[in-house]
Amino acid sequence: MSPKKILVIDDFSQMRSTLKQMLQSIGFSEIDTATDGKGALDQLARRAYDIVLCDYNLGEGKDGQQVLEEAKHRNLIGYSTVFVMITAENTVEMVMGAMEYKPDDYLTKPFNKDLLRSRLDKLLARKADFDQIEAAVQKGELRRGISLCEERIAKKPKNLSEFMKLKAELCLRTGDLEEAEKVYAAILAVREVPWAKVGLGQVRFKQGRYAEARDIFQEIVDQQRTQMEAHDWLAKSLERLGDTKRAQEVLANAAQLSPKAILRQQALGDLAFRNADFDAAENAFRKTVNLGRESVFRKPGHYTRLAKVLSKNGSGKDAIKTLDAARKEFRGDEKALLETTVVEGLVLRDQGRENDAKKAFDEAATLFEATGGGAGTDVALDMAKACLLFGEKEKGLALIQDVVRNNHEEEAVLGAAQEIFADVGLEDEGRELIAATTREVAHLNNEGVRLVKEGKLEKALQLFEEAVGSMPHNRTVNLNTAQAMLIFMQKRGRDERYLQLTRQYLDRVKAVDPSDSKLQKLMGVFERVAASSAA
Amino acid sequence: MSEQGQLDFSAVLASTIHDMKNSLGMVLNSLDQIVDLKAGNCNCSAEQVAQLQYEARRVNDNLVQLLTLYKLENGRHLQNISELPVAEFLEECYLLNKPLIDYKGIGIEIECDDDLYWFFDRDLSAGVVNNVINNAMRYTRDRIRLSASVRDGMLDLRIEDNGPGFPERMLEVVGREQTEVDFRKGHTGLGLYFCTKVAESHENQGRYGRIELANDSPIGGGRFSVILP
Repeated sequence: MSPKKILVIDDFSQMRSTLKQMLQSIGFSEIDTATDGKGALDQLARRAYDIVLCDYNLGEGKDGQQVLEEAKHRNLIGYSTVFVMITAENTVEMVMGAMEYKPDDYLTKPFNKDLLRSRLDKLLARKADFDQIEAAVQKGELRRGISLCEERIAKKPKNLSEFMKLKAELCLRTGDLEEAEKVYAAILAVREVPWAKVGLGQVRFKQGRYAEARDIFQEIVDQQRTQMEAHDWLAKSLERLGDTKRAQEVLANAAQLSPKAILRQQALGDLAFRNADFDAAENAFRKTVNLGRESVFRKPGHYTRLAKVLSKNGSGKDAIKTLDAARKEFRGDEKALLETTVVEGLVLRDQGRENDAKKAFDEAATLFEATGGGAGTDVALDMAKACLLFGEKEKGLALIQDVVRNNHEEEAVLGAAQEIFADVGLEDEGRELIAATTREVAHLNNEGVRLVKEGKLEKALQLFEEAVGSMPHNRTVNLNTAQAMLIFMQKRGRDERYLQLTRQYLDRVKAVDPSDSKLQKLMGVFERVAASSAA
Repeated sequence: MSEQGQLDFSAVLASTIHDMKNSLGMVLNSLDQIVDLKAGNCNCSAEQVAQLQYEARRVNDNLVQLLTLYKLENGRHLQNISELPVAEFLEECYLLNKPLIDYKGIGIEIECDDDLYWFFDRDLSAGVVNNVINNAMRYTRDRIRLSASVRDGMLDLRIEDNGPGFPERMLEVVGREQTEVDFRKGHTGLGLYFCTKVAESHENQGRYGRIELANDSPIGGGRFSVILP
């Protein structure tokens, strides 16, 4: 008898008992069952399972993919849990189109116990095979993960290409583009393997060679329409090249192939909105909101986006209804209340209901104050726009300036800021403000880096600490400050306060973009500094 | 799809419906025989159960194939090409049919290098191999051989048996556009049509998959090759 704990999730009682019987005859005895997504998540929260067998189709409520997404997102299942999605022939593509969080394997009905046993044996063996590497990756020790991959590759195992694939992915994440490219090129020299081609495209993208990246992704998509990842990257490349129209077409096409991928719908809506294709944006945001009902990716921003575009399309009433629905969905969530109230003010104003609009705006302003600057970029921009429209120009400009200072290299944010200026008729003044602010931040960073290079570490630290205090969300400032502190400690020895601050700055960047290559490098240095000085 | 292809497909569709109707008729008849309504229980032999399983599988396989073909023709199928260990793939195809193979007392052998990996759509290709295994079970004397190797840069998946081999007219049909349909003998043409379309849906660097039929098996009967780029 195997001591492995198994959870079977299926809405049909007959299928549950068939699966249970199969598993028992294979030699498993610890088998729990769940009949729907909610029940399954409760069970997963209570008990750690080794294997989860989940039917994709669970009737009303969450589907199998949403169960997987939420379980992973909430850390209810770890890397060592085998998650198998059971699909019928008509649901395979639904699972395939998922954007993140893929199951370990698919099992297409009908199957028998012999097949199930063989598949589970192999999956468990595979988990054991990758155990150490996955554990390192889970802990964020990507460089250790890479060296573990290299150890395995040197032994030339049967599944050599799986280790090469993982190694290249980790190299991409740590920003070691040269090494990643070597792996992909080695694979591609033998065969046109889709994942290696997608990987090479990502290398080009990260090198900033967007046109080459675009051509690679285009080729993959032409050959294999169903490579969803390639569609997403193609759209991103086109966006960087300024061809947002084509990017939108690509994403629309991809979204059609994977109608249930919520994150892709949201990205499509954002692009369509930027392209002023408000019909397409409305359509995409409507789908995003609907898909969000049972999804862990649900957020108030989906509703406010839909409301904004509805208002643009002249459906102000529907926009207000959408915001009301959001407040109901996110009851008790202060941030959600703020987000929806700001947008409500904007929508009411579009409708010409000045008094109601002003009331909503005042309410939003109070809520905004209460967040103490922690409202997030999107909300801050909406708030700024409202200030400009409701005659509080100084406050609006200050808010935008603050957003720009914290995001001086994020093209999408700067674009959104410029759009607001255009909307309120301050196009030239706005452009001037954005340019001056980004210049100022860039200059500050350069100055700090110069001081570090000249060895004037105390002066550099003073400058950076001040900068990070006034721009706590600026990625470059956080990274540069962390770097300066690490260099300081490497030269002058351990400093508890600096260690703690460095960790804090790195965590901030990690929360936004864990794959930032400079972040990855600094995390490596941080581990060494923390370890060496502790000894 | 070409006009010729459409004609073929509607003929295949009609004969498949006919065939499934026959299968379901057989299932209903068998149920009548084994169910004792008065006593409220079933009395059946292992042979009858095996027959029921066989017919039900056939109908299910036919329907899945029809749906898959529909999606392939309409560009709605999301192909899921991944790199797979071929030996494991063949093993799984055998396992899926193991109960019936065991019941019929057929000896099975699998020949494939453990380190042979290839890129293909697992579910689609399993559908093809299972279909051919099913056919081989019907005609073999007592042996089926599954093997795989790389020939001319393509993966050659072979399903062989020691039965009488394929009839001459089937050998002629393969590779031509026209698919032969024979209502009386249960040759719906669906299986062959399905195998051809799935093989052709695999493409790599300008080369396409295909199927090959011959009576040159070293174990004495027919050889069905699924050749994937």
